[in-house]
Amino acid sequence: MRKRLEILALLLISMGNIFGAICYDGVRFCPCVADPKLDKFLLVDERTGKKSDCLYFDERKLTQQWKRFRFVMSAEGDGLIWLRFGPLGTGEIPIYLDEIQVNGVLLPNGGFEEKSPDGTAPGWNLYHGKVVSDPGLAFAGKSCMRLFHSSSQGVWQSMVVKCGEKMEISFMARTGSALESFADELGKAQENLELAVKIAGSARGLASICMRPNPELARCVNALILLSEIQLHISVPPVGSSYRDP
Amino acid sequence: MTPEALRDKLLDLTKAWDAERRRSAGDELPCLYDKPEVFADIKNRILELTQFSAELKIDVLLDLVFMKKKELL
Repeated sequence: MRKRLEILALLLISMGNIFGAICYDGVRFCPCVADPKLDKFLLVDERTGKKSDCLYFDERKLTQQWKRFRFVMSAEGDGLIWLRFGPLGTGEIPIYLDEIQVNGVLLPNGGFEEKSPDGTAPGWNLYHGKVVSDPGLAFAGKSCMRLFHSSSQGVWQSMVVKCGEKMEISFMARTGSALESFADELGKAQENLELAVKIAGSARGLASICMRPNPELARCVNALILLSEIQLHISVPPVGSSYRDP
Repeated sequence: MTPEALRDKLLDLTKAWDAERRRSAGDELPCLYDKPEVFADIKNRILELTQFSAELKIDVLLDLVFMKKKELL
């Protein structure tokens, strides 16, 4: 039995390679009844007719260009629901959201133009999300929402619904780039080195430790530079040639 | 190659990635869109680098602690 499962797993992995599995996330819109114990009504997916107190609308493919996605649903009762937006995947590469509307009307702070000093968005609950202000990046206005770093991340806000009311929820979404993810991860190594250099600089006796060559680190940096050159076609001169992997 | 020089090299690499990201922002599909194995390779290298740099940071911190302790004694 175990052997069969192993063969099946290998088969699935090879199929993924043949069909070109992707490392990029899609987007998931998930409306839910806020308190199913209190509000005993269901939401209806108008496309499929599916009824549940929690619906899932998935869009698997995002591109780097902004695109509007639309979902239509209705409620079978009066009450409060959550509108939750998040990535569909691992959360390793950022996705961006902007201009979230219900029946063509922007939700409160649906364009994420209001921003708190800590990067959160007033009117929204968020987990691992951040408002980014860059007119070149946002679809409209100056800001949009960036989700990154966790598959459970997302933004959500509540909305009052009425029985039988049809709602078209639409939003703009696009994917970020793997290069953003790499730069973000590499920032942690940079911070470590920065701190090591600072500490060593602050204490005379320690400076010599930090000035010592570190071949392990140098080899690792060169391996990354080589990968970047071969796979991403982005060239940076390597550190001393003696630190290359054999 | 000192940690200071390596830090500067990583900064150069980050700048080069950022320049490429800006250059390719108009492309419909981002880089490595259908190459998850390459994405994982590069991520693993970065994680390894983060681990080595964290070890160096801890070494320097411990040296500082012991040096201060010696000064007090």
